[in-house]
Parts: sequence; C-alpha cells; structure tokens
Amino acid sequence: MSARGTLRFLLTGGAVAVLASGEMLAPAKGFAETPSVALTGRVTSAQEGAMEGVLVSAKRDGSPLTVTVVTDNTGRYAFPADRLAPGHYALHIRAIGYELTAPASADVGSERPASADLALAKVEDISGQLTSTEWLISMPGTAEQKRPLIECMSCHTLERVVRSKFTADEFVGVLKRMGNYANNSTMAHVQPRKVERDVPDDRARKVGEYLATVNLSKTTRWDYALKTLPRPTGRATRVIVTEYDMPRPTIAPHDVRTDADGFIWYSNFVEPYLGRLDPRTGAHVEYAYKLPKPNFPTGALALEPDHDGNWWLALMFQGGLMKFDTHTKTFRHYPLPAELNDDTAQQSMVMPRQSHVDGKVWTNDVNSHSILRLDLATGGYEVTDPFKDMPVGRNHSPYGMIADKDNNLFFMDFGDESIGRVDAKTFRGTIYQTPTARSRPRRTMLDDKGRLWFAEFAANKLGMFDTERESFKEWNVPTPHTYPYDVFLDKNGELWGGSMSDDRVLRFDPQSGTSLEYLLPHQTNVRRIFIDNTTTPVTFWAGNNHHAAIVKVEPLD
Amino acid sequence: MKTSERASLLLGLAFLVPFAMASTAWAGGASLDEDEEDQSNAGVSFFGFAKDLDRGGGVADAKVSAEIKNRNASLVTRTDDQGHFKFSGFSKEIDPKDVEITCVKDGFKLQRTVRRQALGDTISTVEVDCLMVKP
Repeated sequence: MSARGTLRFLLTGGAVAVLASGEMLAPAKGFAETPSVALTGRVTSAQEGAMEGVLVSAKRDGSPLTVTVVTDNTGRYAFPADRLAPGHYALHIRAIGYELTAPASADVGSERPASADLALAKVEDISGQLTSTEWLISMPGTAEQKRPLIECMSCHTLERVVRSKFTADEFVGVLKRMGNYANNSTMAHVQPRKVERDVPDDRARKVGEYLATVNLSKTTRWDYALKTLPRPTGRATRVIVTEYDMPRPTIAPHDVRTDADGFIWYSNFVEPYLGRLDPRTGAHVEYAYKLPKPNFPTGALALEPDHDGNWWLALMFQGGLMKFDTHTKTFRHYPLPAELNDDTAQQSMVMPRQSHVDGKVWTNDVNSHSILRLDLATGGYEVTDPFKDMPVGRNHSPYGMIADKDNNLFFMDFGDESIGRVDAKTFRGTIYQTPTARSRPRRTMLDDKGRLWFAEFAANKLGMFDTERESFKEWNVPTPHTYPYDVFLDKNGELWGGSMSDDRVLRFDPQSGTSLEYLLPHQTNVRRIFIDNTTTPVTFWAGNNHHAAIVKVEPLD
Repeated sequence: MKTSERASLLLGLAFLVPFAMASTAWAGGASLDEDEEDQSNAGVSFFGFAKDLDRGGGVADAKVSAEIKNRNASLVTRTDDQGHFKFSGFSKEIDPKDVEITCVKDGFKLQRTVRRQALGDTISTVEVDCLMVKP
C-alpha cells in the first residue's frame, strides 16, 4: 500500500472510482471527558517563556491524518490517547511569528504517554505566515480599494498578490486574464472559461493601480508594517482539529456534509466526482459521473440531500443537475433544455430538500442571474428572473438557497444586498433588502423557527432573516476582513462560521454577542460548513477547498 | 396562467437578462464587486417616511413594500430609526403609477399614503409617506 495507505480501483464500466484506506482512525463522535494522554509536552520560547495558543500538530508516518491540539496558558499540550495510534509522528506548530528551532518528532507507544517539549524561535521573516486577512489588515488603502481583492481569494491567497512585481500597466492584463478563468479553479487545477468575458480597461486599471502600491513592484520589501492576529487564548485553545488529506492534491472539497450513517460526503469543485469519507476508518470513495460537456470546466459546487437521503450536485459549467442515488450508487443527470444550455450555462446551487412536497427542485443560472426549477416528472425547467422588475443597475446573482416546508424558495443575492423569496405556487418574487448596503449575502440555512441564517460576505457580518416577521438582524464578525462564506446555527443556538481568508472557525453566540475563533493548523480555504448536532459538543466539518483536505473541529466545551 | 404559458413567458424574459446586465468578474467571483452602479436604464426612485400621526415623528422598523402591479413581484425594505425608507430607481419600463407603496408595523394601522412628485418632463423621484395611527 502507498504512503497514504490507499488502494484505488477504477471501474471503467460503472464509472465509479474507489479509494480506500486500510488504516483505522479514531472514533468520529466525541471522546472521553478525561482522556488518557498519548503525547504531551510544553512549548516555550526565549521571548515568551511558556506559550499559550500554539497549535501542535502530529502526523504519523504514512498517514493521511493530522491531529492538532493547542497549548494552554502554561504552554502545555496533550493529545488524547484515542487520537494517536502507536507510531512515529512528525510534529509541527503554528504560532504567528514563530517556528520550531529544530525538526520535531515523537514515538507514541501504547503503554505510557510520550513526551516532547518544543522550543520555538522568532522567524526572521514573518511574511510567509500571514493569512489573507492579515495582509488586508496590513496593507494601506481604503475599504473601497481593498474590496475587489475579496474576489481573488476564491482561487488563491493574497500572498500571491502582494509578492508580485506587476506594475499597474501589467496588472491590467493580469486581471483581464483572471476574469476568464472559471469560478471552479484552484491553483492545483486552473480551468479557463469556455466563453471569454471582458473586464473593462478602466475598472482593471483602477484596481491595478491600487495593487501596484501594495505589492513589490516598486520596492524589494513592503513599506507598510505587517500586522498579525493574536494567537488563541483561553477557551479558543480547548479544541481538537483533525485534517483528513485527500489522496490527490487536485481534489477540492467544496460542500461537506455528514449523513445519518456517519459518512462525510463532499462535492469536488474541480473534478467530476462525488466523494465520501468514513472518518472512523479513513476509507475514501469517489463516485465518478460522466461529463455532460467534456470540453467545459469540470466540478460541482452545491451538494444537498433530498428527503430520501440521495445527493444532488449543481454541475456548474457542465450544465444542469446530477442526482446520486445512495442505494443504487448511480447517477442521473437532469440536463438543461437546449435553449438554456448555451456555453455560459452555470448551475452553482441546488435545493432538492422539499422536492417530495411538489416534485420540484430549485437551482440557478449564474450568467443570466435567473432562478430555475426542475420538474422531476417531466425533466423540464421553469425559469424566472426575480430581479426583472427590481431597481436597475445592480449586479444581482442568486446564490445560496434553502426551501421551506412548502418548497417556497429563499435565496441569497450574492451580487448585491438582498434576500429573495419565490413562491412555489405562484412564482411570485419578493426581494428583501438587507439593512447593510452591498452586503452580498452568500450561503444560508433555515432553522426550525423559520429563521434564515446567512453570511454577509462583503459586509463582514452574520445575518438573520425572520421569514414570519420579514425582518432582519445583523451582527459584525469580530475580526475585520474575515468575509464569512457560510454560517450554521447549532442545536445550542450558537452560530458557526468559516471563510476563505483567515484560517479560523468562528463560534458566535447571537444572544450575548460573545464569540471565539479557533485557529486552524494550515492554510484553509473554507466554503460550505456543516455542524453535526448528534455529538456533544457539536462537531464542525468543512472542506479545505484549495488544499485537498477535509477538516473536523471538535470543541472541548 | 398555465404552467407552460408561464414557463414560456419566463423563458423569454430570462434571455433578455444577460444583455441587460453587463457585469464583469474575476475568476472566482460572481462579480467584480463594482462600486459604481450602471444607472443608464434607471427610472423612478421612491423615498419617504412612515409617520406616526398620533405622536408625530417617524415609525422605525416598519416594513415597507413596493408592489408592482401586474408584474408578480415586490420589493421590501424597512424604515430606519427616523422612519425613512428608499427604493432606488426601478426600470424605465415601470410606470411609477404602477408602483404601490404600503407600510406595516405591529401596533400601527396604515391610514393612508400620500404621494408627491416633482412636476416636469423628467420625473426621477416620487416621495411617498405612510401615515400611520394606533388602531
């Protein structure tokens, strides 16, 4: 078996790829309150002595699994025994401004705890450790000048931008070129669009002129101070993070969800597979589907279950929707009709959850800013543009979707500042403006009290829309330039959030307004998040869209 | 309207949208996140106040709806702390007479709305006040 412990089968006839790991992993749900310890130690530095909030990660030789804990206020860390099987582990740390003085490792046995004290030293150059959020906090400029940069993070961090040497003139061409990459591009799998789009010269120049003032086009070193976010303290150190490496670096987990049997399912943003991970055993399976449009960008965005537990994928530039029957393990494609299925067709969202009510599944078309509805009986699609009669000149884009019990649709207007509703029976559209202008609401969920919870991506806020009262509430996220992608209300009434920019998981109590942020061990581009409410405490799941991993965050309280 | 008729109508309308909405984008984003809005096809804007006729002053956090007759669509916003609201420019195709503004607030009843608009060839804004009373 390979170093990643994988065995791969490709069933050419059935178009199903299977990846399996024979390694037994830790239980997925919860752990003992007073766990015995597998590995412990103290983290110190000459500058601070004992260091709180240092992430210590352990990865066993050949394992796809990385387990991370955080030092407490005495600098001590401890891995529970049920999280590290016996073996040789490489140890890594994350603490902004610091690095290990020497490579560290530990041999974990089965009889008594292993010990490894870790010494840290200040790094000479901190720039390689900054998140996109920290670059945005550091760089001079107005909020309006920085605002276009939030688009860059879909494909790469801002480090790529600030380390570049492009002049303003050169940036114009670069930005125009980037406008022609598909949304579902990562640095590991760049995909050009089939239909070119024009970025106006004046707009590209305006952005380029600003970027040339914050990159290295005129200097060899940034002339602004590099600012960093603080390390975790207190409650934010009481967490275990587990990262499951995918078997290929090109896999881009976008939407991640658990099912009733404890499996983790994910959409692959850049490849034509539906993925499944068993966190109990590490077994990883990929289900391949036939490409409806072989010469178009590949990959799916939204992953949603229907009432029967089958999975639906929004096929992006492949056009239409794909249903995966979890019993037969087969796909069924619902193509767009020819008149809608042009070279720009792009379905990013799907909402099948209430399709058992009326036989209809909602989706969108990004390019035409339209809402589509699939009739399961006929395979036909209805189309509506909910913004057709709305105030003009705005850049609308229906995005995150959820359906209520009657299969009425609520959607996020990611391009602008509103939430929309489309009545399932009359097709009537109602647009609700968010209190904050240009908020760009992104993904959403509906709780059992009829409240929509959503991330206001560009406003750096979390929002709630009461569908009964038709009223909003908004909360600022604690860290500027976080740009939350998604939010999830857990069984305890706490909100969880994730983003593409700061490698942190937000836990927020909307009642008290208090919050904490769990730092993740690696650069992590978080998209759709999912909270498993069957565990106590709850468990946070997300994909690392740019770095081929699935991330589990288990708070200890 | 039958479903097939509605679908055909909507399908036709949908094809107009890409030409009406000329947006640009980076690779990953839905838009360029432009700060300048294209108002070249903008028609009439609506603004005004929800007013408390009993006590005077504005009614905060009132739901304000703009219903467009025969268009199967509505736009909803809320008044601010001063009772003010605004709907920016609808399409030129929308006759301002076809836009009905109403206000709703728990504990109040809408007595009537008062519309005022500038005279002249070019009407750009219509002021609408919701006059509200305790029931």
